[in-house]
Parts: sequence; structure tokens; C-alpha cells
Amino acid sequence: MSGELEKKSVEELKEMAKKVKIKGYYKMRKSELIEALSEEQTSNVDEESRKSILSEIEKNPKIYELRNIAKRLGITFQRNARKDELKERILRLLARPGLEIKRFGISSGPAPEKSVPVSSSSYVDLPSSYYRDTLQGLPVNPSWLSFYWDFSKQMSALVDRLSRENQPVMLRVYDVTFLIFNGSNAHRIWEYRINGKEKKYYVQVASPAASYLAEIGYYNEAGVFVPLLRSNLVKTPASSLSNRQEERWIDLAKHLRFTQTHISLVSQPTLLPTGLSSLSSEEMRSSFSSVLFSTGNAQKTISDKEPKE
Amino acid sequence: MNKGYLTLVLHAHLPYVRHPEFEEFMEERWLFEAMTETYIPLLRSFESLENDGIPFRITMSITPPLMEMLEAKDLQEKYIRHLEKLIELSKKEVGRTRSEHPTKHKMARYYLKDFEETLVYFRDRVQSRLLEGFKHFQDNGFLEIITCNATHGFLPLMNRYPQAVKAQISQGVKTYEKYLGRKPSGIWLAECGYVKGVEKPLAEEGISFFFVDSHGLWYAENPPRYGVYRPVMTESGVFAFGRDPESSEQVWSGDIGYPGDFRYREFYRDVGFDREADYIAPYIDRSGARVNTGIKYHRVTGKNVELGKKDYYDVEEAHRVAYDHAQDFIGKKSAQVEALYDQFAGVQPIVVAPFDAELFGHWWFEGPKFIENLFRCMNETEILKPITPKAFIDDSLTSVQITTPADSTWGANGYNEVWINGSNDWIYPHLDEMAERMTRLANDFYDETDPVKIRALQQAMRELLLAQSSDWAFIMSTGTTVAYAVNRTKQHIVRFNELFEALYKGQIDEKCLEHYEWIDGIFSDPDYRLYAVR
Repeated sequence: MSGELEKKSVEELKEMAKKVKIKGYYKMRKSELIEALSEEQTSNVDEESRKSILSEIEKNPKIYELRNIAKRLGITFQRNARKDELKERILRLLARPGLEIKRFGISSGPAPEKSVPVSSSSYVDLPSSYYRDTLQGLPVNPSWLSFYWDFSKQMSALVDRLSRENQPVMLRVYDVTFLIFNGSNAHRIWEYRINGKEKKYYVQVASPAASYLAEIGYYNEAGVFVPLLRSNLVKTPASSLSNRQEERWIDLAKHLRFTQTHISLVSQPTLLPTGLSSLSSEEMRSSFSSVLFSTGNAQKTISDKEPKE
Repeated sequence: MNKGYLTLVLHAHLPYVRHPEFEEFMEERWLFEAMTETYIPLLRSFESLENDGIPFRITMSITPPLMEMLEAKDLQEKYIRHLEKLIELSKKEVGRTRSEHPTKHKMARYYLKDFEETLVYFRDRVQSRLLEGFKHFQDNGFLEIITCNATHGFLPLMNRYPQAVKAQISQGVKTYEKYLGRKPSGIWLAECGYVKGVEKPLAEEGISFFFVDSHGLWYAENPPRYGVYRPVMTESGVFAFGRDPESSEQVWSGDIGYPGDFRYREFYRDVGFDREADYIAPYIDRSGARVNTGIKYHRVTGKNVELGKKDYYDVEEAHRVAYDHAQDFIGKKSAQVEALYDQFAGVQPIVVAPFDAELFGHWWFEGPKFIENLFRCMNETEILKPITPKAFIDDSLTSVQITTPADSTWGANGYNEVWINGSNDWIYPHLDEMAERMTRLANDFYDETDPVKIRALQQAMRELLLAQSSDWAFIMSTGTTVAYAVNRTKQHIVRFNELFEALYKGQIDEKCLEHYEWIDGIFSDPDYRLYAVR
């Protein structure tokens, strides 16, 4: 049901959400927008529209009219879907007793056999904050890091006050590779102004196989950076041959360790370290990690010239 | 003369999708399709090799969630119903195709026979227990089954919480022992995701080896002399084997990869989509959503041929092609190890070729035949021999290089970006908070004796483990069935937080707990104290 929506850009979805007056649409992620919109679309089938659609269908509508009804109901269909097929899909949707089950477009079958406690209903809201002071760094790849943070209520109040007083709150990232960090001795420092709403930031850094940490803080009147939170140490993965010239070995029978100067008996890797799934393959058409999700339920578009079976 | 070894690794995994609260559930088809198209055909290929006395060696990770699903009675029963429906549909197809096209009709008969045999194999031969089928080949020395971390959690983004990593690994070992009756020799780290430090909990669990992607060895702290063609040992004493990039390319590449052969079966033409609605309705999802049935009549036909213009598929011809491809692969591997053997001045290389098991059969329909033929062809040559990592370590390795592999995964571009990007990064603040809270719970309730509270603690652990499945983040990145993955993640987070609060308030709603145990019932008796910091 949400298939059509997924093809749309975030901008288009926001536009749609605005039209149907979904609350807080402007700060929603794509997945949230799709959820809200598909919910909107199914919940729109109130008794009155149900009746009116049924009467439209009784009048034996043309294929394009059926397509419009189906679209209105958020039914995903193929371009070459036949008239009776569309009609059947529409009727089946209208006949469904528990439309809310279909909200995520995932479940099928009848309603749960056992009574379900309220808390496990399929629509759930996650806490927007755990009200704890934390700044976490996660490695994305050799040149990108991701940071997210969360504030306690006191910290939130402080950050709000700072921005009201035009003292910008900054995310500072330090390159501390092979250093014992003392608060200022980094190889390099990057600074980004952060706003109150987004609680994450992706940072491009200079080197692979390097260590970074970040602080959130502000400049006081004297122009001194005052840190409020410090992150964990986060390392970018290596992306080239190590320059160490030593090989360490162990004789497994004698449990004897020895070292040798490195000799490479293999040619330098010619393939980039791409990981299996990025091998571009026309035949693959799906990412590697799980062939089943990406193919099992894929939306098919069969040419209109398809011979009739 | 034996100049080198081939280690074929099949990683069999599906996320825990089990909905006892529904009579039918669309995403449970992932399991059923994998059973019909991959697991059972593989077992039947193994059987055929065993009968012909071909000494094959395969390393196969069967992940804990997959083990749990394969052993679940309700899913076994649902699968039999699913197969019976499929057989019913095949019978109709046999009748219908008689007047449509002879090749199509031949295939309809093939499917009917194949599904009937599948049902007999499943119900009678292994008494609905595919794990027993796999175990048989492990006991006979053909198959080395290894484990995986508990719910396929993505360790490179979890390592800030060592207890969470430890619990993932420890539960992975425990589930393996429960079903296979011994300790696993090795592990497949979910998504081939290695990050410095995970070797320590592996060593603590007595695991002897794991795998890394090629660049995990290429860019190791001390460069390995033999590249990816000999294992290395980490400081913890656990061995790491590196993926051979050439083997994967021969299977995956768009230009030279085997599955794209024009004579192989086309994945995207299925009667589930091709037949008219009222005819196919009983065999697709109850909502009317079209799904794959597994009955497909067309072949790849050519590059860039529209789906509507595909030719009919002939399984006999395709099986001959699968034999030729196996022969070609073994020829290439033999040449590769011969060249490496000379380069290494007489040291035998080991070529490690890991794949998703579901590639074979589900995606590449002829894949299980290819694997079977691989070992038939390998049996004809002296140069190349199949081996498991365990046997290689025990029999062939006298000295080994010590180093720490580079952080790496087998995801797109080789690092973490599939599992952390704008589409899925919202999960990490929650997963991290849950890991911290679980440690708090384990510390505060370490000596808990109240059985209801212990159940709530165990259920909290299940919700955390299930939320950590790398599959959800992966699905959010790839864009198919996103709503399901988002919803699953959210539900596990919410249920966890509910249990967390209920435990501290001392108000556990037993009815609700029982419900969660029923719908998220992975792993019996998990040890929540693994999360404690003592």
C-alpha cells in the first residue's frame, strides 16, 4: 500500500502531507511521512466514502475511473492491471473489517486470534529523548563519522538559554590520533554550529585509521570554548596497506613467536575494498546481504505488451 | 598433486519473522521460499553427493534466528500448508499450460513433481526438522555448521557496549549447542562485520575462527605475507580467514557472473504476478498483494530484454549449463591455486568463497545444482581440494602470522554505511539506550529470584536482541518492505522500555508479559546477567 508513496521524494510527500493537514509533517522523516500518509489514506475510508465508492463501482466505471479510485485508496497496482482485477482489489479493501491492520501495509490474514493488549498496537511512538547527557560517535567509513547527542532537561535549558543569548552551540571534532588528549592538543579541529532540533551530525574527516573525539560546547564572553559534553573515542577504519614493515609469527607446535621483515608475496590489491554487495551487477539487481528481502516482495512492472495468458 | 584448498562458506540467515498471532503473514514467506528453493534443494544435493560417494566439504553458518524458526512447530505446520497450496496451484498450472505452450507445460509438470518431492522430503524424510537434515551431514563430516551472533546484530556499531557484544556472541553459541549438541568451532560475524576487539569474546566462548572481507586482511595492522590466501591469528588466539575477491566476482559480476546466463531462470517473472487476479487470489497474500509463488516459466533470455519479451525456460538445459559453470569455476580455482602455490614457493593457499546461502536456489535457481556439480568436478582433480577452516587449522597449519585485521564489513563499499545513514540512523540512540538500560537491569536484578521478574528480564533481553538485528537497518537502506522493518524496530524498543519501567516500578502486567513472550518468543531461557558489569 505504501509502495507508491515510497517512490516519491520527501518534498513531494511533505507537500501531500501539508494538503491533508498532517500535524508536524515538516519535521517528519520519509518513513514517518509514508506511515502518516498511508494511515490517512486508509482511515479516510469512512462509512460515507465507502458507500459512495460502492455505488460508483456498481455503475460499472471505466478503467481509468477505477484506477483513480484505487489510487485514492492507496492501492498499489501494476500499469497493466485489468479492470476486474482493480475492481476486486477495491472491493476487497472496502470489505476488510480491520482496516487498521493494514496500516503498515505488512500484515495479512485475519485479526489476531488472542486479544492484544493495547500497548502492542501496531502504531507506536518512540520517546524523542531519554533526557540524558550523551554524545556518541559512530564510524561510517574511512572518511565519515556520525555523531548524535541527547540532553538532560537541565542541559536543554542551558542550550536554549545560550541560543537565546546568541552564543552559538558548537560541535567540535578533534583528530587525536596517537595522542593523549588534554583538551586542546589535537592535530586538527573542526567546528560546526548545531541547532537545537536535529540531534545528529555527519562529519567528513581527513584520515582513515585515525582516532577522533568530539565535544559540544560554546564560546563564552572571553572567547574561550567551554565544553559541555565529550564523546567516546571513535576510529575510522583503515583503507590502505599498513606501513608496518614487521611480520609477527607463531610456530603453533612449539608455541614459539618470531618476527620477520615483511615480504609481500601477493600482488597489491587491484580491486578496491568494495565489499561484496557493491559489485555492480546488472543480474544482481539487489543488494547482497539478503537476497530475500530485496527480491521477495519486489514491485513488478511488466510491459504493457505482455501477451494475455 | 594437491596445491591448494577451496573453502565454500554458505551463510544461511533470515531475521526472526514469526507471527503466531496471524494465520498467514506475508513476511513469513521469506522463510518458506528459502526452504523450498534453497535449504531443501541444498540438502537434496548433499544427499545425492553422499550417495555417489563424493567427499564434499562445506562450511555453513545457520544463524540462531533461522535455527529457532526451523525448529518452531507452528512455522513447520504453516510451511506444510504453504506447500500443499503450492501443489494445488501446480496441478491447476499443469492443466492450464497444456494448451498454452509445450515448454511451459513441461515446466508446470516439473514444478508439480518437485513440490511433491519437497513435501515428502520435509514431512517424511526429516519429520519437519530441516536442522536434523543438516546435522546428519555434519555428523558424517561433510558439513561444518558454524554459528552467528545471536540475532545478526551489527557488531561494528555495537562495540561501545561490550556487554551487548558479549551477549550477542554468547547467545549465538548457546543456541547452536541447544540444537546441535556441541560447541561451534567457528562463527560468521553478521554482515562479515569485524571491529577490533570482538575476537576477545569469541576466544572466551572457545570459538576458533571467523571470517573477514578481503580488505580486513589486506589492511591488517601488520600486512599479511600471503594476503587473503592464508589465515592469520589474532592476539586472542582466534583465527581469521579472508574472503577471496575473485571467487565472488565469478558469481556476482554483471559481465562474467554465472547467474546472468541467458539460459537460467528469470527471477522476476512469476505466475503470482502474471496470472489474473481471481485465479491466483488463493495463492497470493490475503490482502490481494501479489507475491512470488515460485512457479516461473521464463528464462533470462538476454541482456536488457524486457520482462514481457522473455523466452520460455527449460530446466534440463539450465542444469547442463550449471554443470558447465561448475566445471569452469573449478578450472579457474585450480589455475588460481597453482599460480599462488608457485608464488608462495610451495606453501598451499586456501581460497575462501563465502556467499549468502539464499543466493543459491532462491535467487539463482540452479545454484544448488551448481554447488553439487562443483564437488563432482573437484573430485576429478588432484590440484584442488575442498576443506573446512577447522580441518585446515588442525591439519595444515604449522605456523601462522599474528595480526589484527582492519575494521571491515562485506556491505556496499566495505564499511558501515549500509547500516548507518540518513534512512536508519534514528535507531542507534534507542539501541544504545537499551544496551545501557539492560546493563542497569542486569546489575540491579542480578540475584533476582522472583520468577515473574526473571521472565520480564529475559523478555527485555529478547526485545533488545531482536531490535539489534542488522536486517532492519539493512531493509531501511534498500527500500523494500521498509514499513515492516521500521515497525518491528519500534515495537521492540517500545516493549523493551515498557518492561524496563515495569521492573523498576515493581508492577509487571503478567498478561502483557505473556503476550510478549508469545509474539517475540525467540530463545528459551536467555541469560540476562550477561549484560552485568561486575
